[in-house]
Amino acid sequence: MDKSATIEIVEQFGTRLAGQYLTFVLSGEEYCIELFKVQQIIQLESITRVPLSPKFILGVINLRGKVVPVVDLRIKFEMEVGERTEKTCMVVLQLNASGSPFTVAFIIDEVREVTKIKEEEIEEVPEFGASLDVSFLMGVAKINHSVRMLLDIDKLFSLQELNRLDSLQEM
Amino acid sequence: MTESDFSPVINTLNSCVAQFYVADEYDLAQLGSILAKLDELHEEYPISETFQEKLGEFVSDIETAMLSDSIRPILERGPSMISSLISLVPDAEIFLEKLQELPELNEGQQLFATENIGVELEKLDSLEDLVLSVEQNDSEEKWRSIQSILHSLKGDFGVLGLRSLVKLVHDVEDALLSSVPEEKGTHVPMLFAFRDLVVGRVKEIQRGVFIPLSEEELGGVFRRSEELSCETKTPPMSTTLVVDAEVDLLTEFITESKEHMAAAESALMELENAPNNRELVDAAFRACHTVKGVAGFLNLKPLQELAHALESVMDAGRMGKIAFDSAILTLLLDGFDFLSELVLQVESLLPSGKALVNPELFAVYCRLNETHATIAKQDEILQKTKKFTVVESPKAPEVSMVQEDRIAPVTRSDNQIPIEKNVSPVSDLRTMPVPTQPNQGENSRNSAESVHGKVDETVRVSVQRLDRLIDSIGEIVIAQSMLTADPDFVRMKSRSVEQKASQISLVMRQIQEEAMSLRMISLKSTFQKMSRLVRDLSNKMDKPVELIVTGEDTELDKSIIEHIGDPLVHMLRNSVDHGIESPQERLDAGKEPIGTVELRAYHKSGNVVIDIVDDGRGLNKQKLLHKAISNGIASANRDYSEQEIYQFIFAPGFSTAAEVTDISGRGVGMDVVKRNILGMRGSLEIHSDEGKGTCFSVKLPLTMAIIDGMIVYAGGETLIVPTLSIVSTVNPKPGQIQSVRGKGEMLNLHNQLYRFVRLSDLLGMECERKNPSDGIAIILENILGNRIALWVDGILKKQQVVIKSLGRLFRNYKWISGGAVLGDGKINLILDVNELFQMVEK
Repeated sequence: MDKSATIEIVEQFGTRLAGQYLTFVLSGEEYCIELFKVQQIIQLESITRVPLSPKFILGVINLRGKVVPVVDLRIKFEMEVGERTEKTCMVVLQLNASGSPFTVAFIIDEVREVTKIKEEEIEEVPEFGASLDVSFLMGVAKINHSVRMLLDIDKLFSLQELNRLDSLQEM
Repeated sequence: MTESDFSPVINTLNSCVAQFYVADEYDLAQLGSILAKLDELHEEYPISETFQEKLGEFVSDIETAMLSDSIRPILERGPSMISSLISLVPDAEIFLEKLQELPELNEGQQLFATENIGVELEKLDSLEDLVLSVEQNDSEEKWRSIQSILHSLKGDFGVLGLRSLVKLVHDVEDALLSSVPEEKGTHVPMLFAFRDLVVGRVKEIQRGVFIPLSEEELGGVFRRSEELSCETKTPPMSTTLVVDAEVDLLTEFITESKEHMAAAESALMELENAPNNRELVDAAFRACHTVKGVAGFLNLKPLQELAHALESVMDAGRMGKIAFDSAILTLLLDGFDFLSELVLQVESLLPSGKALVNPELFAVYCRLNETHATIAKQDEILQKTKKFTVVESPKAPEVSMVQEDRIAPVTRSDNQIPIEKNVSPVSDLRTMPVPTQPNQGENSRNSAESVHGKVDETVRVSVQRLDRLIDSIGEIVIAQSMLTADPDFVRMKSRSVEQKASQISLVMRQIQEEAMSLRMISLKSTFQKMSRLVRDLSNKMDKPVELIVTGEDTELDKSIIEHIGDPLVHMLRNSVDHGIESPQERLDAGKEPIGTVELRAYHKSGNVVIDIVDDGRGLNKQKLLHKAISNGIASANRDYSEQEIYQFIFAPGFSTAAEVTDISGRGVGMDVVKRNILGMRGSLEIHSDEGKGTCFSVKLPLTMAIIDGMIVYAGGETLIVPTLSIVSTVNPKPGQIQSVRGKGEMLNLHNQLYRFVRLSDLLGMECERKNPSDGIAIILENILGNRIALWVDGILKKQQVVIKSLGRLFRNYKWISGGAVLGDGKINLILDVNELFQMVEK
């Protein structure tokens, strides 16, 4: 394959993913999620535990009358459990997992900013080695020498993943 | 000169025509405005000498008319005068054609249309009602109402600038006005045809399209009865159902048709007991007519044709040409069944598609048409012999013309059944001289209703929107209680603020109750289906059964109504099939030969109870127990209470064995019954007296959205236990807990042993182990009557809570039936007691 063709593929990849992103911090690293999926950012509030559920599901909250499950992304990504600080908050996302709308809240360490990520800043996910599960990443963005990971949030809550949760629960 | 130069002339003249149509006898202003327009034309457009001359004449005619006593003559002459003027304009035809060919509505028309279509359709509906009632009972007053509706329709179409419609209405009005009162009845078919045609057009307008009426269509409305009855062959019924219209319209049609069909069915059912009640026939007829009309508009051919065939037979009945005996009613009911089936088929084909219709349908269709053809033929003879007496006789001859063998069995070779019989369109029957009804009292009541129109107006709202409203109200109730519980608020200690707050909370509760009641619907349509079921069963099994229905107005939440149908069908089928004995057996037992099944609904302590009571042979406890023991459900060395024995009926598989029929046969699909009722958080009891009958008693919550709950805490969490399952609560004494090898802890309460289950253990909650005497044991009972003692740290209070779904992430967490938001705004999980029992058993 000659060089120009490769560049073209990379460019198309970037075009598809370019857009507005919300950047947040989790265990010192920066992650991005597509802004249009973010419903709101709320303060940490009291969560109702759901017994017998997987560890990363912290429970449920009442969001204006709706029951919304809360997921701790640190546990989900098998990171060490961090301290809750003033900056810890929840990002409420409206997902369209497997065809039907689905609302879920994530606990994150800190919200950084809303950025427009240009296509030339986006690259494909490099091989991190076996230590990190990269299947939930859509790509990475290199902005001012820092690397931000673009989370594939729909995949995180795809049907397969939900089924995996169910089987986890039965164990 | 080119045509375009005269287009303003034609436009002006056209608008004058509309004004002429719209104006009534006293509308001098309208006439004035026409005059002004014409004057202007006269001065500015000297098209030709003849035109000028004619226009001048006409203007002076109008002026004279305005000064005379009545402007009616000029109003009537106006449109034709204007058309003769238009014909004098060069190239007018080309221009007019162009004008007619515009199918798109302009902006103003669309705006008007979207705002007023509902009103127009209502007017057309009340027109139909009036025409139907006038046919039964002619009165000057009704004709006046009809005319006033026509007039207002004309005005509206005039405003819309739909000239061909205005002309149509105008012609219809003329036809009515020109006939003497006694002859007005002959216009009924015209009015029906008019109404159908206009409804079709109005619905098109709703979609933003308007196709001007063709000459043929206009003519069709006015075709005389003689012409209509000229023998047209019924085409064979369409074999394919093609669904290809706007989805919105189709879904609306489906919902409406279902309602109409239910109404028609229930009317026919009632008709069986009151064959002379015209009101019922009319109700069924109207429903069918509406379905036919809309089906035609949506191009659902098979539906339209079947509805038409049904309508024809019913119409013969309305005219008293046929008696609504059991055979006819069965035929009609079959027809409606197929119509419902077709509607369901349409629903399944959405958004669009094609399917073959059920071939069995053709047999019914043929029978309907044959019946009708027979009637029509006999009627012809009747008409010949009794021509004069029928018209003049004040009383309708009560004739049941049709012989028993009128429904000839139809052999069907393939889908395309050529129907040789001549069946004339429905309208011809309407043109028959209207017999004056002997039953004046009833009719006058009926007419009074029709004239005064709607008593209780309704608005159709989607359930989704309703639920959103209920959700929001739920939120505001919580928000309000959070406010009053707020420490800052409490600290205020202001009496007046507190009073106001409690006032608000009072109103808030009322709003919440009202909102919940919006989801409530009556059991009426469900019970109607049941009457039909019992009727069919009793016919099929040759077992006369009378169904007594009471409390059909009892209301339940929509979701419960939707789920109660199946269990009721199973239970009723059981009662008729197995409960009620054969007439001979009944006579031998000294009972009335006709069996009675009672279906009743009523309120009882915050729940709705539905009883199914039969006076049949009852349940044989001994046989049931034997059966249960041989099936391995029951143990031979245990005493069972009466209820426990009856509950075996509901064990899955218990009923499927063939021998079940020997034990008075209870139990077909009874496990389904139990599951469904359980799913609705209801309960089921059976009472039976051998030889005297059985009573199934279903207790249902009013709504699935609210439950009575006991708020408990265990392992640091607050949870809600449904009060329905709680038998009692007890603070266990140290001596009452015994450890039984292999079974864990047991609670001994009044010499009864209960399994002692700690909720925190069951749910895997980590917490320090406490002494049983430091907590509360809740004795729970599941649907099978088993009991356990569920131990919790304590009980907070009893409260009604609104259940919310936890969403699909937790859909496999069967032991949670949902969550409830309590006063602090936090979600509390509601336990599913029956699932807890399953967990305990594991």
